[in-house]
Amino acid sequence: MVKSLDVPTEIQSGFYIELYSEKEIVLTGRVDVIELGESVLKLRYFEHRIEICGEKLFIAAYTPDGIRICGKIIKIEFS
Amino acid sequence: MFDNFLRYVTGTVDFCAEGADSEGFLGFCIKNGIEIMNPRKTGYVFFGTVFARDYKKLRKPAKKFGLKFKIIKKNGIYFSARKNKNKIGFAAGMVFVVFIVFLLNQFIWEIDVSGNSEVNTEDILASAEKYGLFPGTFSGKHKTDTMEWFILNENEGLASVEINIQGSKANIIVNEALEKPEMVPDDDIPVNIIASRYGVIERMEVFDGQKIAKTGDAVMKGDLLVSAVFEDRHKKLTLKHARAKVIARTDYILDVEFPLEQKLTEKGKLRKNIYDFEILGINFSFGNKEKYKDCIIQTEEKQLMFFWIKLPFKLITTRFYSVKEKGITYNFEQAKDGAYALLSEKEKTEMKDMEIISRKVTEKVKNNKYILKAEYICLMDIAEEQPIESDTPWENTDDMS
Repeated sequence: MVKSLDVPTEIQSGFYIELYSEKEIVLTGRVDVIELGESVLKLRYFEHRIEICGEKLFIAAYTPDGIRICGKIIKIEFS
Repeated sequence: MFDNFLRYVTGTVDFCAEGADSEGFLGFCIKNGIEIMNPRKTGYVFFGTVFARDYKKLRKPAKKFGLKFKIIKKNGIYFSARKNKNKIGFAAGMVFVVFIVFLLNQFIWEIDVSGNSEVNTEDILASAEKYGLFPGTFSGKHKTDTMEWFILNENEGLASVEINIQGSKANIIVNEALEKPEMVPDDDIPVNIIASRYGVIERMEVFDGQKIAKTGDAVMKGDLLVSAVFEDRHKKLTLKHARAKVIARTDYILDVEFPLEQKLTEKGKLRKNIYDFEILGINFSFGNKEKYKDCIIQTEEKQLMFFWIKLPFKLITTRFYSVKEKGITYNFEQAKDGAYALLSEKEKTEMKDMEIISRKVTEKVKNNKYILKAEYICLMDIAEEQPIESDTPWENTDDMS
């Protein structure tokens, strides 16, 4: 049904990340913060672990529907 | 900005929590609908902000995750009010001031008239006062439509009047009517046109009467140019009020004198400051102005304001300066410039209806004065009306009478 309706795969899986240049990243959906820091932010996002490295990172908004992180993003690592 | 305002109204608490698992605490709070704003961590200390209503809800998760809590700051209108509850007098004063300003704003304290140039502002204000619009009146009671109509009827030169009342200020915006050209019948008596000065006629425009002189004629002062006696094709004589424009080439002389030594008056030392207070339209003067009436007077008005609202208080400072006489001696160059400036001014006023063809200026210094004598050849209207005394019965034949 998903295929017949031509729904984007990211919505299908519920895994959706938006990156606005190197200054802002938005993750939609349930996110858990594993480690909170100004230079490293470790998140659990669905079955993935995401590590965001950068400078002066901070959580601008955090709700059960997603998280918005701002600052200077240098690296995003999935594991 | 709206977010900040909302936070200020609802109240927020800045807190810090010390413990190892602050990330778990953060996730737990979000999962349970407790919004933590601006979460950050320095070492083992977690910082965040919650709405005041959610602060109590943090106790349980804090205990669960082994965090030690501390309030850093309470923000918001509720906390500010509690903090300053001992300063009730100050708060009451503020409320009183706001009330007084609000109350004063309900009255008219300033009336501004705009759009008039011919009709006097004082006349318009007098009309407005007559119908109840003057400083100190309650702004809500004025029926502007009726008042506009009254002011319009009372001042003849006005075409429209609009009154806008904004807070304590009333704006009277007027439009002036164009003046009707006065239709004066000029055929009341029989009149000849004679030459007002000598000259050579360049052109003639005869509107009524019998043309006697013609273009190219040299005429002397008093010569008949257009006659009031008109003979029609049936040889019948009728008397007319002759009207004509007779442009003649003639000469004209202007004399100008510029004294080389002049006395100028200028502002001297400040002798006295007299202050007047105008409160609610009533003037209170602190000093005798009559004593200094020979001085140079300068007045300055200061309107008291509460932020952008004009209050009905004015401070009027009248400064009286002594008159200082100063003697100036001009050199010839300066005097020459001054004399030519005077001549130019005189040309503009005396010769405004003339067309200058040529000008010859002679200069001389006599009796300590720089004297200019300007001789012009110019074109000017030399027609002059001269009523005639006649026993012939005057019959007005014009339509306009």
